Amino acid sequence: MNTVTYSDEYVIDMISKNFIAVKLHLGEDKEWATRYDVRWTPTFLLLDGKEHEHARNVGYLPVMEMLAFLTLAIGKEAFDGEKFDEAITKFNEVISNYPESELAAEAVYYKGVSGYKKGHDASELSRAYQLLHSKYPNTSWEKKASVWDS
Amino acid sequence: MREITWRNDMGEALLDAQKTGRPLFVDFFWPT
Repeated sequence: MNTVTYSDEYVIDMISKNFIAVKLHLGEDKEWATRYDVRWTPTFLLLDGKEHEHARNVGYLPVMEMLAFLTLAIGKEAFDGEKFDEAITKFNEVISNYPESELAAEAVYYKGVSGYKKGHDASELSRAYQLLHSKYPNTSWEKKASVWDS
Repeated sequence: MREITWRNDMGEALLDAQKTGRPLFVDFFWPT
């Protein structure tokens, strides 16, 4: 992890500009591992100062997936705080900058939900489903969004 | 070469997050 992902300039920039970065040893920092229910490494969490968890990943992430995860995590924090415009901006970044990422489909899903929650326009949900159906078929997110098909 | 500045004191990092509003990126690791 240190030799590949964390030495990438874009990853360094994104983490340094947006987060307080913390490394905890699963064996030695057991109190925190128990508190956040962490059982395997690497596990990445995005938490706010009140310890609300906005995103979690278990397992190694190569550079592109890490950038997508961090961007999606920032979007999810905004979503959880009902800052839907900020959230949509971040979800759009995932969709356009990392379209091959496994997280792009999740970003489409949450972009649709954010659009709906912002203006209560159900067409946001059906648009999200159409995009998932055409671009990310057979993903779990396409299946979850299939109830929005109209 | 530039590097990420990592903290290892979670309590202190949480206090900073509360003060600044900046979220925490936490990496639980096991040395290899």
